[in-house]
Amino acid sequence: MNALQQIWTVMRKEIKVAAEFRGQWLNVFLTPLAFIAVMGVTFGDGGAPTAAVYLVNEDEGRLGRQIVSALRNEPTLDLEILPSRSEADRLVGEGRRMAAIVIPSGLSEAVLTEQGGAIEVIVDPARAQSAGVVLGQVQAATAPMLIDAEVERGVRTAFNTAPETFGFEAADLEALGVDLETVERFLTAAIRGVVSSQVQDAIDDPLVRIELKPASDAAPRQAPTIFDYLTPGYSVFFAFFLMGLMAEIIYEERVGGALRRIFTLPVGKASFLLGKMLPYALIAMLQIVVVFGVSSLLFNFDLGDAPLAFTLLVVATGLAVGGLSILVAVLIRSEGQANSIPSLLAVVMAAVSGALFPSIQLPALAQLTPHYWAIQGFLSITALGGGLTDVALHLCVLLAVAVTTFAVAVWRFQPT
Amino acid sequence: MPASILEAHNLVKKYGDLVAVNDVSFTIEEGEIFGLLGPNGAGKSTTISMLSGLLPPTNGNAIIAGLDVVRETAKVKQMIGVAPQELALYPTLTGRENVRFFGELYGLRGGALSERVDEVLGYVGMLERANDRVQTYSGGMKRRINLAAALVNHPRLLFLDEPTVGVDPQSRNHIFESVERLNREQGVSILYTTHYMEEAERLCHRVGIIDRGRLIALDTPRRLIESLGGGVIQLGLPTADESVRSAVAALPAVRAASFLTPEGASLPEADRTSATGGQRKAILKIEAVHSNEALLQVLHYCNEAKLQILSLDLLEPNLETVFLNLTGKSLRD
Repeated sequence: MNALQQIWTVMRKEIKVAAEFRGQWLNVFLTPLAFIAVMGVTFGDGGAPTAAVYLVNEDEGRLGRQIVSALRNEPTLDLEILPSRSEADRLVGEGRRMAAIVIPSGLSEAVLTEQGGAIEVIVDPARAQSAGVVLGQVQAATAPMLIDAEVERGVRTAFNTAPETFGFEAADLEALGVDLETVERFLTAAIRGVVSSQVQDAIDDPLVRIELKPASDAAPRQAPTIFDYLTPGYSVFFAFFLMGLMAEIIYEERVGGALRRIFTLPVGKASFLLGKMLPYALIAMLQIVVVFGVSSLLFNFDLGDAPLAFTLLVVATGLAVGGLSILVAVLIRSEGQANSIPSLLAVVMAAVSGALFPSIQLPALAQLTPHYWAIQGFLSITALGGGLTDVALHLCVLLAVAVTTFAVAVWRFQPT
Repeated sequence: MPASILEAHNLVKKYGDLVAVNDVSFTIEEGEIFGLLGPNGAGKSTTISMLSGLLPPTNGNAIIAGLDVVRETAKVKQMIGVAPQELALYPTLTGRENVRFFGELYGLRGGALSERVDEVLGYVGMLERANDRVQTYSGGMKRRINLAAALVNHPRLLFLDEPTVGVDPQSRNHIFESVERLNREQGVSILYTTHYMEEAERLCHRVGIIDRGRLIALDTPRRLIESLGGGVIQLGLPTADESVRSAVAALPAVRAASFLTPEGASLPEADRTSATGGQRKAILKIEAVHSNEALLQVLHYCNEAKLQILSLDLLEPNLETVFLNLTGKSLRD
């Protein structure tokens, strides 16, 4: 009973002392939300990223207008129409936008000739790799029109070479009362119609279909958004910054003599360290709840349908934060270490675990970090609709981290 | 014969090759203020750490109120109070919150805790400022709260480790008065470490002089001072000449004479003990039977022998001189 009272006493003192470090609270509670908001806006709300490009149409023909229309309907392109190629060239050179699409003068006519035509994409050399994406988007958007133009050119070529091919003269046909111009227009329209129809059929109903099917037994859910990744990632990342705060406070207790005094009292190491650890574990839990809650309200982030699993995961993550923090804090022996090692550790573990950037393929090393198990556990619940059984392993690993780190901290702790 | 509240037997603390405390033994009687006097780094704080259960001794043992400090640490800790040399307080908490915190760790609760906290804050004269943060206090006020926190559990034995370092004269006097009242009115036994001989002389019933981890003298301040006889004269000479030393030692008013030598150095090296304006000199320490007569006889001898006197110090008989006499160096070195 006395030990419990001592733990409670140390907890209350720790919260009072830690409450003075206001900058750290900003770091732990507000910074993850700021990161989530900025990253979410930058990389979009679940859709593909858009490319900001200029568009110049110098072609006065029908094909030019069709391409402009098609590009305007392309959702992945953020277009700004410019009147001249030179202006587009200058602005791209200044880095205002990554590329400019130029439809050259006479393209409509040129595509019907043997030489064909070309759509130009002027790219910012500094972003050549990103601008390459624009090329693909232009090709995708203009494909139907170019097929159309190819058909028209093919028909014209075939018609013009028909007398040679079939061994009659144009005069023979005129003598029979055939209007060649009418026949050419008719045939062109007919063939174009057939080919276009086939092409459209091939797109709409291909001979070999690739079908997407939802995983069996999975409840129908909305597609994961970028916030499904950012919210647990940044929440967990910044929760582990509590290591720095705890290290700083325990270092000050050590050099200020408070630790020496406390251990001249009848206080056990485990009771004292548990009293120090628990407030940070609770703060980490509170931070996760706040960040997830605000993210849910502001960014429409889905918290999933497993409140028990979610709660247990919050508790396990908080305890892992507390355990690792107390271990790092008791091993710190100088002010320089207190100022650098916890932050370095927090960043490195977050980077390895995939907390900083959404990633499909993570290194095996990631599984050595508690971050990984916390983030993957939350993803299972929020993005994939998982429940308690889906996060059982994650819970076990996080609790094992908490217990092991705390036990090592008690073992290694030297109050003097 | 009064009972001992503390018995330290052959305490040794080693850190690798460094011997911080070397075979220290002493007892403190119930109701006694016992001083450990020595320069910084002498081993005073390490001795307190071992006696308060913070550090296990490498060798030896200690008994407090009949309990073995190592085997019955928890019980021992209930009956001692420690005011460490560092200001072991939380600066962002108030003085009252600090004292309450340590009181709660002792298991005090509710009304008993509040009453005791007010009592000890009043004892050290800090009730009026008790609700201010410690970081707003002067050095002396912090020391007083440090003392209050050590008293909160009604200790039978109080360890005060350099309790007046860095404090203003007003707070220093307040601490002296608090220590004296605690001892006089409540019968608290006190182990008081300091490197200020004035404090040891004023407060302590007995004093142990400690240097380089060894207890080199132990007695009442008066007897330690009396051991000096009529005082000490320090004579600065150009060289450490053995014939001069023996001649001075043979003077009727002189009890003993010796050249101060650095630790472990041979006599010729005494030449290097100090220098004035770049000139080397040897210090001849003369213990007098009567200081005035001895001074006249020494000056007369130097005049007859045509010895050049580079410096002359007549040291008053006090604990500082006792320490100098025993170790050849100042308490503040």
